[in-house]
Amino acid sequence: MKTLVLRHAAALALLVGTSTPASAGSPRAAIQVEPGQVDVNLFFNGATVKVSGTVPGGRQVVVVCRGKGQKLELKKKGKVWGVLWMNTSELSYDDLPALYLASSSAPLTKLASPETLRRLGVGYNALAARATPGAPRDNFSELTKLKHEEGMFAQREGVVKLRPGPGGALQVEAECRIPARAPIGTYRAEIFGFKDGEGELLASGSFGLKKVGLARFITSLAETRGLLYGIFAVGVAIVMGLLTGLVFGLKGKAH
Amino acid sequence: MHFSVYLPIAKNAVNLFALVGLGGLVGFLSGLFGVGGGFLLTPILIMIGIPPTVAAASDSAQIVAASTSGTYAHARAGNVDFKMGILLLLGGVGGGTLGVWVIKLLRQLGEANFLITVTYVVMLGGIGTYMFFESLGGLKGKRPPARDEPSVKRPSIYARIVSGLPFKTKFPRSKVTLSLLMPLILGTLVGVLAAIMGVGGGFIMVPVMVYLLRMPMHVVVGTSLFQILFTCINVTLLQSYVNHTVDIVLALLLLVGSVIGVQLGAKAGKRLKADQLKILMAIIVLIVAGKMLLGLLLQPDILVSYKGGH
Repeated sequence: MKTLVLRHAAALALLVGTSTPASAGSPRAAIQVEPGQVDVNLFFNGATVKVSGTVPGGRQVVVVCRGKGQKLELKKKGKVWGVLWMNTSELSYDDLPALYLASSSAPLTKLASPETLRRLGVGYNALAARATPGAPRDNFSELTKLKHEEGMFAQREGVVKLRPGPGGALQVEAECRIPARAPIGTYRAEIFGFKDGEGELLASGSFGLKKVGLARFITSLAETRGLLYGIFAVGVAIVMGLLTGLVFGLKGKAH
Repeated sequence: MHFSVYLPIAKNAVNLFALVGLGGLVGFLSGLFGVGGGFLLTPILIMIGIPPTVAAASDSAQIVAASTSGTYAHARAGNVDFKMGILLLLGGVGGGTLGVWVIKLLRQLGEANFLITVTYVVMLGGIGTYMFFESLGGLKGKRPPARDEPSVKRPSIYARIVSGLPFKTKFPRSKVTLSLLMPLILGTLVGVLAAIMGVGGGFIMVPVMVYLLRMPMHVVVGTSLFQILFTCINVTLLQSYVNHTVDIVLALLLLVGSVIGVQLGAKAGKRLKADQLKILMAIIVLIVAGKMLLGLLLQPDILVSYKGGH
């Protein structure tokens, strides 16, 4: 229990530490991310990360949880000889987050112009523009379909709760649903504020996914002692196979 | 939701019972037909969110367990021809290595994927159709000169080559007398094909043993499992050592189901006649071929997929 409390406190301290102070026009913006660290063990099945905060009043808000940008390579199916669908080409995106979950308090198109959204990196269109400047968009919509199915991309409008707080400020509450397949690593949580078609990043924090316990042990064994791990896997499989054979063999004889 | 398990190497969570059930089903098919079942299991695992490389590698660990259990069951019934199995295995290892080189060559020529997929579908369709009608004829009792069908197309050539080969030896379990070279050569051919198609090869090996080596169907199932056991031990070790893609949690859940399924399959197989067994296998081969063909003909929902799979 003690360690748990301590770790919690440490995570909070970290969050406060990494929170970017708001820009000049919005002195009271703050963000809180709970939990700061998500433990990934054998019963991990995704997690809900709560992002809450305070922003100056009179704004609409977008909350984004995102992974680090990385290169992504894809295969694309096309028609061969006009009839057969096969992988015919390859695509690559230079800078795309593995996870991108955006929630907003109002439809994105009503918050700001496409240019503003793109500059801030808010919404799929902004992602597409950043990932491959000048590339055709049809492939990107196929990619978002793939990512949607996995739960790694989401863009949900009207789901961020805004409540009036002390001193004319707004209390922001949002959730990021992290799917089980999200890679281990550090993620950013950001609160963007929009007013009169203008937008800005008000506050940002971070959270992490970390393998612990048996899941961590198995992974490190597989990666550092591959042969031993393989021999163990084969040994377990053979023993299990023989045992079942024996049990069924005895049963067969008994009849 | 409480019954999900996180797979540390696959890096995703899946339903515990779904995996055990899936293992049981595939194990049953293994015990019945002597195939590894990777053709069925790997695509399903990919569908439920396991990366393709991890799915194939972990599946091979599962097959080690299932084929151990299955070989044991069939050996007790006297249905494993170890001599034939070892010769096929030796050929298969050589053929597998050769196959990897052939793929390299094909890739350099371009359109390799297309060639491979089309060949696979045509071959499966051909083998399935042939098996289906041959065993249907057998079931109806209208089989004129039994076991001579493969030579229908080129009777004299195949028969002459087979009888002309040196190193003739008896295979008492299979009740055939053949040249030692036959299983070696056929094992090599299946190995090449298996490496090119990227599957274990049970689907090609079983018909080869039935029609080209003229082995009795029940001995074919046991001997095929014996052979698959060693192929998959090799694959599991290599994948663990080179690619680190074997997820032991995934393999364990699958094999808990499959070691039991394979025993039940072997039991069910004993109650079926050889022709009934063959016709069921033919139907499954045709379903797999049909599914692949549909996959090629229908527009997929999503046109892109991650690189690094098949």
